[in-house]
Amino acid sequence: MKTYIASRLAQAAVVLAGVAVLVFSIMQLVPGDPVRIALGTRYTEEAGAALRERAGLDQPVLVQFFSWAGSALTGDLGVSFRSGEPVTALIVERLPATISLAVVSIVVALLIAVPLGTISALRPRSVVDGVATVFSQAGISIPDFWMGIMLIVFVAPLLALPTGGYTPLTEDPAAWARSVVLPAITVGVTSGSILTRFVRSALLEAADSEHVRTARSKGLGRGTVLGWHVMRNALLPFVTVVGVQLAYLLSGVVVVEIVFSYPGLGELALQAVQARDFPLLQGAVLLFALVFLVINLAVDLSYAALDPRVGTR
Amino acid sequence: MSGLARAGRTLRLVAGRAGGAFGLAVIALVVLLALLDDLLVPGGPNQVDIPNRLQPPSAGAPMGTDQLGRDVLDRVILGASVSLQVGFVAVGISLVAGVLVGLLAGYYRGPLDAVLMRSMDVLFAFPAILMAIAVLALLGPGTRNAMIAIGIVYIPIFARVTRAAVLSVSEEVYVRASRSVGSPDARILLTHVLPNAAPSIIVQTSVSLAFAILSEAALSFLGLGTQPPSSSWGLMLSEGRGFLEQAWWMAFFPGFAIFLTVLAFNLLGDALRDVLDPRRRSLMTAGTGGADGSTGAGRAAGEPKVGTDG
Amino acid sequence: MADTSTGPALQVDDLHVSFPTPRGPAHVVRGLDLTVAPGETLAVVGESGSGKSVSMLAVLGLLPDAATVTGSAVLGGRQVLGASESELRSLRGPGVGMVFQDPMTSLNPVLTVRRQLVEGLRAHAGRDGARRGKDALLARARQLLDEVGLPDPDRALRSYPHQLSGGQRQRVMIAVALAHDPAVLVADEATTALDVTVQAQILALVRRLQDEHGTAVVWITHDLGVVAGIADRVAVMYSGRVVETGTTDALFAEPTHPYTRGLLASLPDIDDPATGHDRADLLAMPGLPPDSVDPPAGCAFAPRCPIAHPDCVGHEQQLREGGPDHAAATRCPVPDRTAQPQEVARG
Repeated sequence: MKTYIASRLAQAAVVLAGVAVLVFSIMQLVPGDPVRIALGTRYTEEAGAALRERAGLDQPVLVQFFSWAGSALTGDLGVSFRSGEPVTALIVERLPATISLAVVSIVVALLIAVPLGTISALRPRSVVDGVATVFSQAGISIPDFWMGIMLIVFVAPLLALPTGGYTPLTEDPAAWARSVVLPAITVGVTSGSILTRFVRSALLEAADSEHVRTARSKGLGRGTVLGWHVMRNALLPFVTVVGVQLAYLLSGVVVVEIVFSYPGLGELALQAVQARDFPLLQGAVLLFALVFLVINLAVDLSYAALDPRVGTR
Repeated sequence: MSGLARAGRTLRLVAGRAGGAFGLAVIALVVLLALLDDLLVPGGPNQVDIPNRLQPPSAGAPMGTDQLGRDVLDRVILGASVSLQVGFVAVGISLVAGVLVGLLAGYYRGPLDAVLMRSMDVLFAFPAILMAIAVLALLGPGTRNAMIAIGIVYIPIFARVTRAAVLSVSEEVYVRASRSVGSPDARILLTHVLPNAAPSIIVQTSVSLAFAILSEAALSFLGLGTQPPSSSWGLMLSEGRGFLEQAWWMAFFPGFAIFLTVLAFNLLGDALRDVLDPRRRSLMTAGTGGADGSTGAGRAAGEPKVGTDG
Repeated sequence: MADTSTGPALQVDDLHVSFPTPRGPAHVVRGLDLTVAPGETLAVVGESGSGKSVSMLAVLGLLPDAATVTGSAVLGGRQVLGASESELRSLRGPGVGMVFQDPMTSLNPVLTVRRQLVEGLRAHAGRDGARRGKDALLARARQLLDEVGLPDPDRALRSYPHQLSGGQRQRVMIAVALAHDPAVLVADEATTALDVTVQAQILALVRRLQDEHGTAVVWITHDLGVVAGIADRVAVMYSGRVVETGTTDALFAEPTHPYTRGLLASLPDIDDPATGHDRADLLAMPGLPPDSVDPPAGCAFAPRCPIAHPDCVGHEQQLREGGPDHAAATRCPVPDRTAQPQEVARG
């Protein structure tokens, strides 16, 4: 168990280092001079030199990397080319909005996937299963940004919901919920559709196993068999896919934020691209990757808690 | 059985399933539209007709007209070829690079495997669309660059799928036998390993086409993919977004076209998986595992198994 | 639930089981008759797919819903085919205990032995009075593990299946199956996955427990070595039917059905079947088992039968008495193993 945790941590550290190199290289890979591009028509020799010095771009590449990575570890992601503000501050400002959206989206996804997948698995190849399959197939294929737009056009006016912006939870919980609900449904439906299929197949596979037959041969009630021998065991494959699904969910968050003019990290990243503000882009990209890695690590560790066999093989 | 005959048989089996038939039909239609677009829309994407702008769907313009009076149906037809091109080229990039990485990692194992797969993990750690956005920020917007960006983003999936399939076949007796008599690695990979990994790769290709088309639309929607005045479904959606209140059809129809095409590739992928993946296939026909004879074929899975007391 | 009547512990008559397949229904069991008396051990022998496991699962209603089951199965005087799910549930455990082939996969890998034993006990707690409370259940679980010869029951209770050896796991399975002192114990290839020495220990354990409790045992196997070691009587199944049945002694001494003879001929050493033999070759016999969706007309064994007669095609053979408590479904009984098939076919 300890070796399993240690190896997962080591693996995550290696990947994190790779992520850091990749994010850092964004600045190096900009064709031409990133400072000149960023400043555009405002570019003068002095302004360029000043910005270059402030961003540390006058140093050799290796020095740049280590000073960038070192600062990043302490939470300093440099300054925005455009506004001159610290990137970290700009990101932190957007963080609550994105976290709200991601968390509510996950809840929506699970609220769709768990009941629908379970009903399908209980009655495979029935009418309900067929309807659930069609629904999840459609949900996977629907472009999230298109669905967002359709919600804005057809649903928002009916329910008098805002079609953009974000109200902090601490400011007004009701307004917060109203600002989050449509974007979260958009993200959650897509992710929930994919998860529905995983819930269904994980349950079917678990129900098909020999130890379930043993459990039934003991004369256990249907509920005990379902709860302790089917669902408990289906939790293992399910937890592993949830981690991977998160990559898709975060992707959805980025797009949907832009559709709803929702002031989160995804929207910030797009602004950074449009403004050629590379330090800001680096910061946003790094943070998304970090969140992904942390949650995946948490999933791996919770897997160890769920499966007693982990670490002994 | 020759490769062609096998492909024919697979196609027949796929077409025999409702989802597969629907998928193939829609894909055939979209391909047809893409090939015949010059004939169907002789005037090109930019027949501006200002007096007739923002007209709702009618007999003359079944999908309405946009802010410049251009026929939405015409532009949807013209968008088909962009979507398909981007999809095929992008998936081609991921396929070639990902399969190569997966083959090498799964076949040689060891340090090469570790290095390659950890690099794939790094790529995978970024949300797909954000990764594509970052690549486009460096390369600059455009259809061609969108293909490259999407291609890079989906390399890890192909690498993982291929590696898993390679791992499961490289322990097979015939592969080890081949190795032990000193066949060149390249030959073993091409004649034994790759064909066995092919089913999973084919399934992944179909599903990835769906994702690639979605991604192109998303990038164009964000203004980073196909640029005006070309016509692309994502770009049309983006333009339609500015006129949601006056002309919902501008955004609705291109989005619906994306939805149908993506759905078709997903359903095709599902049907292919049912037909090609032997494990999934046995799940479809077998009753409960373990009960001997329940497969009806009279060969229960591994019944006389001699194990050792561990 | 000790059986008080003098009748058989389990009597199966004309059992039919079929499964839907894409090619049409597969008739896996086709008119099976079996009887096992209290305290007796009946071995059911046959190849994979001969329907031996399916028939026992059918009796307990453990087959997938898609299966069609007809016929009669009387357990301790009660008809169980067509019984309600709650009736069946009350029989699983107290009426019939089951032990399956692979103790690794038939125990739940993520639950402790304690949990898996106690949940079975709790499912039927209260039926026989006292055993109710948590401590009582736990004490009973410990007692069961002790009874099946696990050296450290408390450690075993805390263990997950993967922490036990194969033999220990199968002992746990037996403890689970015997938890309610069932009238019938069904062992489905229960020693197949174990190595030979452990196999012998498990056989001895089951014999001992059977003697102590008077349990009827149905031992499903394809291994004639096991049959010789444990069974009082044998039923040989082929393609969903019993083709020969008799006492173990009679059957081994005078195999009558050509299929049984083929099985015995493939045993390397008939006089000492318990020695380690190459089990892979055990059922080596020319030809393949019949297709259960589209079985051959008449005698299902005819296509593989070394002494098939033209009449065998299209004519099902019924069990015919060949001696006291010995019957075979063949038109050409072969009492003498050295007899030439041609001569017998004419005679």
